[in-house]
Amino acid sequence: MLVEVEVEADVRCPRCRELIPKLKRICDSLNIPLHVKYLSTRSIAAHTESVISKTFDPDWIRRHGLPEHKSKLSKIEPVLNLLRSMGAQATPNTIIRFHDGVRQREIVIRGYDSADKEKEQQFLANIYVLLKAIKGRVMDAQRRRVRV
Amino acid sequence: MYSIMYYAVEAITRAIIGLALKIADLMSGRSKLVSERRREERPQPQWGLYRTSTPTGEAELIWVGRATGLRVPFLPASTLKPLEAPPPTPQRLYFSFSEAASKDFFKEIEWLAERAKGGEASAG
Repeated sequence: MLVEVEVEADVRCPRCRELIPKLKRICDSLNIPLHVKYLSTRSIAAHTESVISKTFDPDWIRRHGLPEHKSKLSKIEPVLNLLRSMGAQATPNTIIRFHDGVRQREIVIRGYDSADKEKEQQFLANIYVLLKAIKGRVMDAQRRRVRV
Repeated sequence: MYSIMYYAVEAITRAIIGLALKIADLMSGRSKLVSERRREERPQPQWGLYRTSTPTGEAELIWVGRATGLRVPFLPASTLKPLEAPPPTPQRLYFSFSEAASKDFFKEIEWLAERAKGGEASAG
């Protein structure tokens, strides 16, 4: 696996339903595999199913969060605690996973909104350019390794 | 007639030689009956190091305590596998949809990647 895209989705999520075919079109044009992982809140340990949900944990934000997140934490902490107690998960999550020859890296994009068409187009264009750049970089690294 | 004498002489000779051998045996003190020596039944050791096998078939050593009789199993060093380090977690960069839909998305990626290189990143 050099580059792949994974979408964490929910079967009842209308935004996931909109996002998946658009990502599929982008990935097909770039020849990158796309996986859809349906998260289920009925699993025994639902909170461990997604790597994204932990970012809504106040402890995680205190330790790894950006300064702006930390500054807003005092206001949103009760909501985050409620979400954690419910085992709530955010969907859709787009995970771009690649290996640059040194370490496996992931770019995680939380959420999707098709209400603003301009933003949506910008988002899809950004994803396309990002995937194309990553694929080119990864393939270069692979070629160099084969030559060595 | 000659044959009767022959057999009579032979019988007398056998009797004399047999008697002489029996006297020699008695004089040397050896008895003809040889009995098997009974094996000594040693008491089973109640403590020490025993080599057994686990239900899965691996060799195992058990130390049985002398005073307490406590059984302490431990695997020999040859069967122990070296500890393997867990695979490193992938480095993750998190973005929200609004960040990903902005025109400065790539600047943010570069900024976060620089922070990640410096070791102060939000890599989880």
